[in-house]
Amino acid sequence: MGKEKEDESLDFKNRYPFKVEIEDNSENIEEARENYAKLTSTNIKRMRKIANRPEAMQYFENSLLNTDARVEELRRFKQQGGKVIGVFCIQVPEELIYAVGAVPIRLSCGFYDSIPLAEEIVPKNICPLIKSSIGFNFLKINPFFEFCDVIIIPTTCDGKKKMADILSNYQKVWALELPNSKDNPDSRDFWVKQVFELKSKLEGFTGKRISKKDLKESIKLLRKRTALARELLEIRKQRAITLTGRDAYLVMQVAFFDDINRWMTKLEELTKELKSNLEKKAAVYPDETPRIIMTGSALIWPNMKLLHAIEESGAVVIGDDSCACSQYFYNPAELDEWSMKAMVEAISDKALLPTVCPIYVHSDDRVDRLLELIEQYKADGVVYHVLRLCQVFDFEFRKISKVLEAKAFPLLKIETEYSEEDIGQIKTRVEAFIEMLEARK
Amino acid sequence: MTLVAGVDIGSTTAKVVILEDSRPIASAITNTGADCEAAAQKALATALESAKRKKEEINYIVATGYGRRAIDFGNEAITEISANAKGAIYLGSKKGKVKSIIDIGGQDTKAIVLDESGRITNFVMNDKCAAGTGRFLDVIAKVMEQPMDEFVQMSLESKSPVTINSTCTVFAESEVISLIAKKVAKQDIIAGLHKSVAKRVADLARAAGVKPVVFFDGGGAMNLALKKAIEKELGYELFVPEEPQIVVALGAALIAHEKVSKKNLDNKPST
Repeated sequence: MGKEKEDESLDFKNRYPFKVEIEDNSENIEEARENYAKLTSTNIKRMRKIANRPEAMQYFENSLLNTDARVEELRRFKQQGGKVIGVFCIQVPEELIYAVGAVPIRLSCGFYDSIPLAEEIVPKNICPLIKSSIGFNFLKINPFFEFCDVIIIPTTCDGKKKMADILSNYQKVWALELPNSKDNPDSRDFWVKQVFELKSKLEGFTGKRISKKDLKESIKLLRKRTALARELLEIRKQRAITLTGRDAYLVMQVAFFDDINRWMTKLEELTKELKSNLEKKAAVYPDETPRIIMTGSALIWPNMKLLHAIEESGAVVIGDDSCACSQYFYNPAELDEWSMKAMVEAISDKALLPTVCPIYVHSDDRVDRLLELIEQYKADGVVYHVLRLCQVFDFEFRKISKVLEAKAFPLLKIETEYSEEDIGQIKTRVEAFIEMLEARK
Repeated sequence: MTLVAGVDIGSTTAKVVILEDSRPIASAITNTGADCEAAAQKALATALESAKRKKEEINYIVATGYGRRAIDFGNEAITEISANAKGAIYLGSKKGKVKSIIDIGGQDTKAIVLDESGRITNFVMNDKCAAGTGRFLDVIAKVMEQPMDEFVQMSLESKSPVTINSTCTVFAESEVISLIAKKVAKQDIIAGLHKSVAKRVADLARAAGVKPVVFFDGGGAMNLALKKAIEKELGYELFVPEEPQIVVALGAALIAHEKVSKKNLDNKPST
């Protein structure tokens, strides 16, 4: 397996590179790092203020509070020749990354302070997730970022597409071209081809050929992760509430950067504890607490303000359809024949067909999934979160509001950003919504 | 006999309503200013004075409005949305059963939709900008150096309101200044401003699914020109209660009364 086979189609041939050297902002960066640490610990302190919080949460808390151990682990991995691969979104088939012996790190960010830093290289009027992710990673606030040997960005929303271009000035970027529609057979063929290209690209990059056995093992590894995550979600469907929504988000988001095997072990410990809490009736909130399904733009650590507002006002985020929480690896690769072709097709399908992302031309299956979640989690209301300037989610609000209106099912839209300045207005809306849900009970 | 109070701390004014049993016996309004706790205390003291009662006699206080958590003498806090619905249903309308509420306050505009039994089924609030709220008209009236009552009167006199393009309060201000410089009749400018606010309110109301009979309250409901402009946008009449500013405080007081009655009932020894 040589580099001669390396396919260049995913590469960015940036012929007009511009590298804005951000002014000497080591002070800003230091301040931002400190604020990030502060925000992380304040968030966690607020999340601890409940009874019967599982002890197994400690591991996940610590993973965010102190990243040194993981940083060291990755440093050693790289010294031994290992490759770390940054990814955005949920459409990158991580099976290929594991199969080639590399480690994926998901790079999205919800940190406000990295936005002004990023505004030196990106326009002001784009969604905060894009700005924050760029600022967080490129301004060296994220300790994992420097380890990334390449970043894979699927062409999901416009922000991600242009981010690929901007980031290519600074870092090796592969744009993984995702179709705009799921149900067109040509789109599927095209996508499978892209995933095959990604495979050979990764092989060329690492100098390791992915054998059938490698891919089979990594598919099995990720199916196990999916099964474990679903077990946790099953527990959340119970009437007794044993885990807060904020903790569920925290657990899932630690998987962005953690060692997959250790994360699974810790998740198993958590699930075991939750099961015993269920038996002991050791709940975090009373059974009659209004149950909310979160939908809309992703809420990414440390942007917990909406989740805090909901859960500190007397409701619980019991379920979600978020790519940053329970949808992250909700779907397993489905196959019964283990040929290379069948395996690559299965991981391609998994990343395309069941993902409830609003970037496709139409996404009625996103509506179906939401209705299914309402049913399964015995929800009382839906909170639809729109990050300001996140157009794709905003576009879909009307349709979803009409569907829920026809079912007389309560829905609250919250449009906000990462900054805390509108927290008063958000609280009023959220509290009024919860009062409304309580009056219906 | 029970004595309860509802305290509504808005961005511009603090309102208090006192109920004896379920009957309103006094109310008061003060400017919020910089210290909302002090404003609420002052409104409560004024209302108590006119009711000839003492603070110690009050059994229960429910606070509402944006400053509901900023005061420390309330027994409970509730949002202005629930309180508004409570107050509006209690007062009712002369036009039939209240189905929706439009509330224009100093900082917020809200549209609330009720079902047959008076429960809230949906509500929408303006985003964080002041356009489409009472504050917008206040600011411009000051720029034009018109007292509010004259400002409203002049709007009603206009036959051909201009179109104000800027929705931002700051930009609208400069637009108004340039219209004055162009010697456009002040009446038409002011009517144009009312139309612009009314359009935003009507959009918000439609987004919420507001349907008649609509109960119109908050400080904004005292502006007749604004009421007429919204009616024109929506295509039907709104019902404005006698004292639109205190509906939310009344609702909070009614909730306080419910709480106290329930408590008394719970405490009664079973026979």
